Amino acid sequence: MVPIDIHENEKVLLKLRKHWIILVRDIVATVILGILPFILFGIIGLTVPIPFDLSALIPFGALLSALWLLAIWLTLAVLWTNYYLDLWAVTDQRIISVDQINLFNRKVTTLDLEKIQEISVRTENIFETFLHFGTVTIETASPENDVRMEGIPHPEQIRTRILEQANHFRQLLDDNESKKQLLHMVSHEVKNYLAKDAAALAEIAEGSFDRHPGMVKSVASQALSETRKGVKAMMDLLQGETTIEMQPFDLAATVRDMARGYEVAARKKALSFNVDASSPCVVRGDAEKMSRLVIKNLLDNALNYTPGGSIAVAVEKNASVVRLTVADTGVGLSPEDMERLFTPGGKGAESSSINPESTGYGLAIAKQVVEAQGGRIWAESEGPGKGSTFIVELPVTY
Amino acid sequence: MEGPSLGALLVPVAWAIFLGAIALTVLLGAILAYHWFRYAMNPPAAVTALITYSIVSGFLLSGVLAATIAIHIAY
Repeated sequence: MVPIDIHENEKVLLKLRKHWIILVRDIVATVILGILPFILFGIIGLTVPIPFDLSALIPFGALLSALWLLAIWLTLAVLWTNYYLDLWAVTDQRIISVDQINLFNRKVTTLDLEKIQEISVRTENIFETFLHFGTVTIETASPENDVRMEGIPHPEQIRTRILEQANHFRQLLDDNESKKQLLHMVSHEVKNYLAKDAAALAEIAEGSFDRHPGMVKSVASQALSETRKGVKAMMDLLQGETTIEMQPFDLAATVRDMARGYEVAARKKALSFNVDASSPCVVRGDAEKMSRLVIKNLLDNALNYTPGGSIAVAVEKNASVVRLTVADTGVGLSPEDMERLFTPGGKGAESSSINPESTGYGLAIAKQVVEAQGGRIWAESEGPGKGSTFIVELPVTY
Repeated sequence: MEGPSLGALLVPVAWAIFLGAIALTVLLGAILAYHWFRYAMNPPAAVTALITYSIVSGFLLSGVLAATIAIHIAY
């Protein structure tokens, strides 16, 4: 039996049929139609005098009567079949509507619960009002996809139940999406730190610390500690448990410290790497999260997406804000890139070829952190191949 | 030359109607049974429907047969 196609992980919550009164109504109408000829012939036979003898036709009349009754019976069988095979199933994921219009016309419609916008209920006559049934219309964004269920018993209850399930389903989808983002972001962060660990291990493998076992231990331990802290900060941020500790700190000094770690890598790529952050620029914010999740991301990006030329990092203070600028002469950004750059998973067009390990979450994370400190972050570029500038502004603290 | 009487015509017509009724009932029964067994949500409903259909159709067809035999005897 294959009444409706239910997926393996799908659970049927409700099976709905039209109210029984609809079947009774159709049966009664058919039966009345069936006995009407007998009543009419009876009345005619009793009231109208017939001038000739009909007794010879009695066997043929009996045959026609038996045939008529058979036809009525077959009609009832078809009516019941159409009634019984009309079905609506509400599962934990969709609504499946089976409309058996006639024996050779069967329409199966499915509607995902997340597409439900509104559900309207209509009871339009005395029978529907007192026998508690009516029409339930499930509305979607496009009216041609609306599902209409007629003759449904207790339509208000059904409406409530479907809406509850739809909300529950949406919540599950949102949770699922959050989990996906969480996974992407964590993987982004872990990748970054593992890259750093790999660099440290490469140094060890190359023998740079052969005579200094203490340094090996220190490098490995520092790398592990960085990884642990970074992943924890990320998890906290994503789970909404992060606290931005708003304390005054010198952004210029923080940038100088961070930038120092990139000088070697820039030199290896033959990039000119200039840092202009000599004057103290005190802001209120979380120095650690700024370093780990914002400045690091911007410097990583500048380094990854600048095959040649220069990277200029500057921190300056004006009347109301402290501005951090990371400008490079790298691959640049198209207007489309800029639109999606700060969204979760949003990557530039060149990203996949230049930096295949990019998850596209770094700048989305940076944006969250900057905005949590009352600042803003954006990117500027004259176009692909013309470099790009990332700017962070935080309110100045006096 | 005298043509066949009305009664003589009625007999084959009655048998033809009877056979037509059987054919229609069986054909419709097969189509309905296909729907019941393919689309019904529970097997007992399909079996009950088939038994009911067979019994009532058999009863009504026996009425048609009886009327046909009556015509056969009468004419």
